[in-house]
Amino acid sequence: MIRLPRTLQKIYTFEKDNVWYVANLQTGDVLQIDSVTADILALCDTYDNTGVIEKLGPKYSEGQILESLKALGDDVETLLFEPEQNSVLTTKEKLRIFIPHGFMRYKEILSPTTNVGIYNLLAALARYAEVFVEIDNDDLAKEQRDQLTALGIQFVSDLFESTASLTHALNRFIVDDCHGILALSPHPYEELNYFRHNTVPIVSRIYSDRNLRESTINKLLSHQALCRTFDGVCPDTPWIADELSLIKDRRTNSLRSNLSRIEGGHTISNGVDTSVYSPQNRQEAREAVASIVEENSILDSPFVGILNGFEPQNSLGMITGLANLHKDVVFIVFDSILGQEHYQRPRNVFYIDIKQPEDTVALPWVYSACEFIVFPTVIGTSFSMVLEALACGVPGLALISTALTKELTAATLSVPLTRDETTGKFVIPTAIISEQINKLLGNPELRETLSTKARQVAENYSWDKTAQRFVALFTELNTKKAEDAIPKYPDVAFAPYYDKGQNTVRTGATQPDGFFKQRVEEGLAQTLLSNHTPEEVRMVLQYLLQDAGKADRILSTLLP
Amino acid sequence: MFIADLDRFRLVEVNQIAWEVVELSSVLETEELIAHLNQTYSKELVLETLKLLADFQDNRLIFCPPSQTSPLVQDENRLRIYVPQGKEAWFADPESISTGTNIALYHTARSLSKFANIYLSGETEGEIAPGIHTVGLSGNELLESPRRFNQKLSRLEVNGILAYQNHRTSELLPFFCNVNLPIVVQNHAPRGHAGQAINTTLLHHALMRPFDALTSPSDSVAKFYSKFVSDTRQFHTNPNGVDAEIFKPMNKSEAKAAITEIVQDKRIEEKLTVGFLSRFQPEKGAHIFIQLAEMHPELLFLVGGRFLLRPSFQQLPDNLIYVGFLPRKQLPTLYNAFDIYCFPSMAAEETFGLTLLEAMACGVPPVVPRFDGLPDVVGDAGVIVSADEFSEDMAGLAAYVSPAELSKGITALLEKGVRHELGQKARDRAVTFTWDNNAKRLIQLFKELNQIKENQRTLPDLSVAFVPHFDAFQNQVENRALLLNLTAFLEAPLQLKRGYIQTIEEGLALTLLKRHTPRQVEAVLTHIFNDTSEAAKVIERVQNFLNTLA
Repeated sequence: MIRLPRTLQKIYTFEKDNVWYVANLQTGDVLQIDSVTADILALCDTYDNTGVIEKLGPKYSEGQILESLKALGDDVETLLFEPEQNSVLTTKEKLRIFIPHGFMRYKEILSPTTNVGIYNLLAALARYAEVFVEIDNDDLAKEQRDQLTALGIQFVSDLFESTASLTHALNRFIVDDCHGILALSPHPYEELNYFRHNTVPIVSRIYSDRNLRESTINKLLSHQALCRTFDGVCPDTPWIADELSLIKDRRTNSLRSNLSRIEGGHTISNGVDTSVYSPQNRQEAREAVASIVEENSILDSPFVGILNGFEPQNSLGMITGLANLHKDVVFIVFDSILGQEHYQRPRNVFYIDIKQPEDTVALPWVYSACEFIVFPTVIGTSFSMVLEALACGVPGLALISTALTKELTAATLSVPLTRDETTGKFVIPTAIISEQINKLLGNPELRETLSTKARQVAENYSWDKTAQRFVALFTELNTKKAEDAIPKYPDVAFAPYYDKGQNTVRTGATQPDGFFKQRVEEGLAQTLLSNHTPEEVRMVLQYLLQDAGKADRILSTLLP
Repeated sequence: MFIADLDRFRLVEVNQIAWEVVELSSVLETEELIAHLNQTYSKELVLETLKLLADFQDNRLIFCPPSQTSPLVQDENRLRIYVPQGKEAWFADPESISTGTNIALYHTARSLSKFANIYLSGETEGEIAPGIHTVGLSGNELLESPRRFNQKLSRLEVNGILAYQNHRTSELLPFFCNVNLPIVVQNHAPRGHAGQAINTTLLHHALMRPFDALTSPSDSVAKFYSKFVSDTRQFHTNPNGVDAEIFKPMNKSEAKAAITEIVQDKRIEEKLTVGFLSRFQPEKGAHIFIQLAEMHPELLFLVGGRFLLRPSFQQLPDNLIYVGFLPRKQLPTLYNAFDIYCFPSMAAEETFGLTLLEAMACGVPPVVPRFDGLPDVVGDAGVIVSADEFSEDMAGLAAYVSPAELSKGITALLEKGVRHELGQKARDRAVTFTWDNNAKRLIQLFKELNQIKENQRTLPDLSVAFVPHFDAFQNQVENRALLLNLTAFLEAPLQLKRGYIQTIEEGLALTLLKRHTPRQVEAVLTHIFNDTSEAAKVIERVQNFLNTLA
């Protein structure tokens, strides 16, 4: 199906003896067309498909118009139309990025720090690219809208009457005017439609958000499956690799190794605003925390912060254990789940709930109140919070996992992470963490050295750098798109065939020459590749064959 | 300036003088043209232009070769049918046609031409017989450029394609895949060729769209394929015909005398004869016929057609005479020289028995086995003996008929009264099988198929994604198909905007139905489920779902 409007080549349409023709004055081809197509050609550089249907509605049935549009796309697109605009960027050009509205629709289920991170990302991106967001008016208060407008962010609702769904006009805008789609929704399937019917690179953002574990994994799995050669998935930390390692499945193993490979490439960390997150006066900060938790007696003890992991309930044993081992220490746990009433809290453990973005305003003081922060990052934590703590000059005590990059671990003491031999799950080494707490508490010089390093590390993670890396990624993907030719596969036919030797009927796949040369799975692979990515086809083949090796072998014969 | 050649679909860039020459070329001779243009252009320039235009003509551009006429017939009421496998040579020399299938196609095309314009593939273009045209269009061109092929068909305003099925599976496949016109495939050989004919039929049936059809000369084909396919609605019966003015009863004595003249054996005029006309080979019952001759020394057995037995069978019974392969124009005489026609064919590809009908048209009572299409031809106008149909084909044979049974049938016809009565019945029945009726049924079928095509609703081509899905509760990854609820028009026919979870099989059916017929998809699902009923359920569900959104 052709998508209009499109620019025509030099053509001339004429009618003779009630038959319509179109002549391509450049190639010398003359094509016979029907009157519907002739009328479409007269409108096609001005109207989109919907407009053409509307315009020609009184004259032809919708079915007739659809059929002609389909024929235009199937047969003669390259003969009559100029190639679709190629979005390779020139260096002078400012990138135009479209952001579908899913990130606003699901803001309630994102953690406040993630929401703040998205806002910061948009703000930074708007400094280096033209950003068009699709936000329903209902999703945004006027002051928020004004705030985004002030950042230079544009709203597609100002360009089109309706943004209720992916419409022709919107898609035309994306295809013709944008260089990329930034898929920010946390919903795994919300943005999958954008992988179809357009040729614009898509970058899917994967959040290290504790509230979204299953959705995040599924977004990664589904988007990665639909990625074309010029799309990318882009985690904010490589934490997901740890996450995937807990799932015993060949696909997640393969994905995990791919993610490891692109570390430093498609993994683009969030930034931190060091003007907001900076060292505060420790005593004032401690008093502020005491005020928040309404317990002034804690001011007699040192504070140690704990940034909880993705499955906070699994950290409960560690927190209780540390509290018992260090009764003279006050543990400040950054968490909104364990603080709920039904959890029995040791007397020296206090929870800081961060439920609303507004709650994050206090964070610089809470971080600064701590001597150091424990990152029991068994299966990931909010990377932004780690950065924020470091930016406040608070050293870290971290478990070694892929959730933290090497740069970050330079500003922390590390504890090796081990797995349970039976379950394969990571084990929190509470005793070792306890030893390291003693080591840090007993060594102010070490804390000071790490604090300095923490500030230096955080300086390298600015939102400007994050935005620039997104721009570089989109530029790279646009170049890749221009270079990658999508192979065309001939039609395959499927039919039952009679196996004389076995006196039975089987199904076979035939090539255009009509011989049953292929197994059904081979034919399926060939036919599916016309509309689906190799990853999708691989998944279908693995499901059908129950043999990953065979699936790979079939695909390897078809892919360039 | 350009001139568009609308027959060749090419644009030719010309200058002003060439344009003027072309405009005048149809009304002025060359010398007149030069004289006329001399006022504006030099003679050399005009000659140079004529030379250039001659080059175009050599390349069949702009000018038609003088001897050719346009293949178009502007009769709006007649259907236009393209017969890609029809041979121009058949119409120049019908004697060149040998096999029953080709004879049937020739007669079909011939009769069809009374009611429709017929277009055959040919080297040249023109009307070779009333209503029968050749066009420079072939299946090879379809493979090279489906677009150009379809444009030419469209220019001919063709309403349908009439093809016949041979055992070469590849021949018609491109038509089903690329040509959006009703295709009727005549199936005269539904099995045989070591199972290949079955596979070709199954392939064609799988590729058929709702506006295609398969015809066969007897009900036996649909019955046979009901073993392989669940839905035989696209199998249509269209019996062959016979030219009853050519194949008609003659003076038997004179006919026998004429054949006696050919084979120089007086016994033909003296004895009752049992005739056989076909390829004389085991599949057609040659050995059975020989045994019958041995069982009936009082009768004379005459064989016409190609002799295809192995050398050791050259020694035939004394009362069996091989008449030879006679030209078609002599066949009425040969049939009339038979007193009884015995056609013991057990060939796996026997759907009708054209010679059986011709013999009946000549008033010769037949004896045949109850096998495939033969009883449909004979009806109550002959003797039908029981046959044991094989549960599956053995080489080229599909049944066994015992000589003893056939012998009883022949014996029943030895009584003169019975023979004459059944002979008359045979003639009366045969004349109802006309090629005109055959053609009229096809015309009706093409009209119905065009109507079906016109009434077809466009199904939404919804996008489907295949994605792994992590189930946190089970801590495992599953496979899912997601109906993305997005058409190529970027419309969302359903409520939910972010996709519906389907089984992989449903997702496959939805995505395959965009480019494959429902039966192809059913074949794939049958392979996946290893269960035809489960596959049928899924395809029915998916089709009903799509029909709801159409």
